[in-house]
Amino acid sequence: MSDCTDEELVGGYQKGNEGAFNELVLRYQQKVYWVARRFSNDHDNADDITQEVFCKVHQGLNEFRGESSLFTWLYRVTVNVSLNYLRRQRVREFFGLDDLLELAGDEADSPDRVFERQEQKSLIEEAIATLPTKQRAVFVLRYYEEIPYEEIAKILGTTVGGLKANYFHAIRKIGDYINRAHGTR
Amino acid sequence: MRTVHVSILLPDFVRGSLGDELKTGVEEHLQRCASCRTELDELQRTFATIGQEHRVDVPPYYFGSILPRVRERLEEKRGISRIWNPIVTKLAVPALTAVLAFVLLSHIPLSVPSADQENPFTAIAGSATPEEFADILHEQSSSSEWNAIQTKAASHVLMNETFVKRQLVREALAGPSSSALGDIAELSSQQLLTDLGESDVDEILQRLGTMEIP
Repeated sequence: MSDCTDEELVGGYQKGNEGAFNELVLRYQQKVYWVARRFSNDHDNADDITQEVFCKVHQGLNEFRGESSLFTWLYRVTVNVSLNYLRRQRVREFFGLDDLLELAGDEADSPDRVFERQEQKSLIEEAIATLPTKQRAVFVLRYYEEIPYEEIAKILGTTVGGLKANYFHAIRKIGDYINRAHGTR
Repeated sequence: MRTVHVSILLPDFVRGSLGDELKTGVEEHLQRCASCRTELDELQRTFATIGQEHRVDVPPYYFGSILPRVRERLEEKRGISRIWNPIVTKLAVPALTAVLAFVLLSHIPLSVPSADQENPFTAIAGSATPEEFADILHEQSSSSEWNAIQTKAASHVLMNETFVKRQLVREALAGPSSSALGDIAELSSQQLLTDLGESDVDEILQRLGTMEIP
């Protein structure tokens, strides 16, 4: 099944072959995870987003008619779930819910939790986190995923010209953030 | 080519992802535009810094764990959707609610208080000895509420008494002994009844003799 094209896997799933869905997860899980990771800057949240993306794919794949490529559709779902996550996170930060949840959370550390704590957030991750959501999405998809502007335009539902401007401003803001950080550290 | 157009092309120029035609155009523009060259230097430094970023790794087992957990989450979602499917929400939930309501109504006693329970005074008085009950009444009689009631009752008694006296005067005036009212004969009976005060009535009664107030 690993030799099948995306279209064949989608067709197989639509005929009731759950194995086709499993293959899609294995094929795209790393790409979905890393996009989610760049959006959320956090392993646990990226993991949650990744699972949610594939659940939505499972629910929506029967209605997928191939009007765009599976790749584009999958990225669109990933970006939407990630953006929703960012919106929720802003609300939680506003009301200080994360602090409360941490206080109320289980003291026991999972291996993932230990791994997460051990790593330091890089300066670049911090800089990306300061970007407006649209610029962040464009930067992640263009810089890390190297997706052509035309595809990003389909994923985000915007124009190529606007994307190029967003990409340019995102990089300049990251540069400004790095310069300020180097000046203060 | 305007500067703004070159600026937004510079990130792709730095990363070598521009088409040949655009790349040549940008190179020509950079030769004559100091502002864009400065911008280019900045972008190259930024890309160099981003490129040095240590890509965080995930534990080796992590990607092997995604599919089973996605499956698990799908099962959970399926379970929830089973709970909220139309048959359950339209038939089972109302039926369950009706059963629950029946059980609650049949097991919770609908307590109707007895007459004794309704009136706490009756309950106290019923369990008290005559002496205790008298003490209770005595104690209550000093309360302001009790005084107010007494005042009202006393006033009522006085009014009744006055009314009776007036009736007696009326009868006396109309009767054979009306001559006994010589001093006030000039007054009409109507006027007399209207203007009579308590002391007037008493005086009239004394004049009339020994009429008893019933």
